[in-house]
Amino acid sequence: MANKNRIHIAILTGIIIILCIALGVLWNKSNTDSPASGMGLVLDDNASDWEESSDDSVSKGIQIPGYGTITVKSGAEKMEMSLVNPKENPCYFQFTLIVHTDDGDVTLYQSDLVEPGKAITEFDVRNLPPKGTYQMTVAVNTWSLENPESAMNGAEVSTTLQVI
Amino acid sequence: MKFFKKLTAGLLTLAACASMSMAAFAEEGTTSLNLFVPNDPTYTITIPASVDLSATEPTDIPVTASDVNYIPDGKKISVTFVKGTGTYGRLYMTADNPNGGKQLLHTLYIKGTEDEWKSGALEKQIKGMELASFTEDGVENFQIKPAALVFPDSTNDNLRIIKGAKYTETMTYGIGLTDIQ
Repeated sequence: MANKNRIHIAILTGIIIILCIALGVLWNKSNTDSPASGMGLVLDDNASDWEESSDDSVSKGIQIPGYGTITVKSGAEKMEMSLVNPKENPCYFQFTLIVHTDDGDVTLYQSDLVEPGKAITEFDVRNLPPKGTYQMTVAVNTWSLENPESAMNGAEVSTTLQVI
Repeated sequence: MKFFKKLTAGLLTLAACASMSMAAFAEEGTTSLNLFVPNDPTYTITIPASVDLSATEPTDIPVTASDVNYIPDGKKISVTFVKGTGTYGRLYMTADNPNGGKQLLHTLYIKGTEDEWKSGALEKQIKGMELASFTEDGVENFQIKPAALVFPDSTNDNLRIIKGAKYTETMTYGIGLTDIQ
């Protein structure tokens, strides 16, 4: 009988300890959820949403990355190069790689539309010129995210292609 | 005498040894080998997605360079005008005529780093003109204005702004490294 009482007391003590811990955790959480509570600070009802742009006549821009010298092996069928559409852009990118040779301009590659925040890093190439150093243009056509049939301002980025 | 001969022979041997060792030193000259490939330049140019042009004064159009690194000495990032969507790449706006009839055109004028207004109708003059240049992070403005500001009394539909017409145009910019003149 005495043993049974001891067991009951032990179980009760355990339950009380667990309840105390649980209450402590809840109290702590309620205080950390609202950093201002308990400090007399209140959010101002007069505050309104703020947009960063201070000039309404000029919209958010289109980011165009520059390119360093691109090197590719002679006769290669694939090319590694990062064709990036930065994630902040309001438009799709379409990339066209044009190499300027003595015999005229040659298109190496043309992508489909690339969404903002995505990049093409490897692609098939055609018409790769023989070994040498060439001027290359990365033409970037842009199309509105809201209306993909509506062209936006584009760019032609100059770089150098080395075929080794 | 014997001693003199021995001394002479000894000195000659020493001289021969010295000359051989000098030749040997000469053959051990050093060549320093060096290799340096500079970092590729990196940068991002931000062009406006769209701009609402003023009908009463020139409009500043900002071009921003950011994350500019490893631009070689004597070089700059040059942002140029490549083409508009007009015939031969001319820079003019088009609009549907709100009163019906043929499509409306309105010629634009553009001013870049040369600080000289050029007509968008003269494609040979504007193609390749520099609009902004950078050697580090920054913002530069170029300007565009409608031809109506240059010819305020014109009755030519290409030189006056027709009220109610929604004019639009897109541009293609050139971006690349060029020599600092």
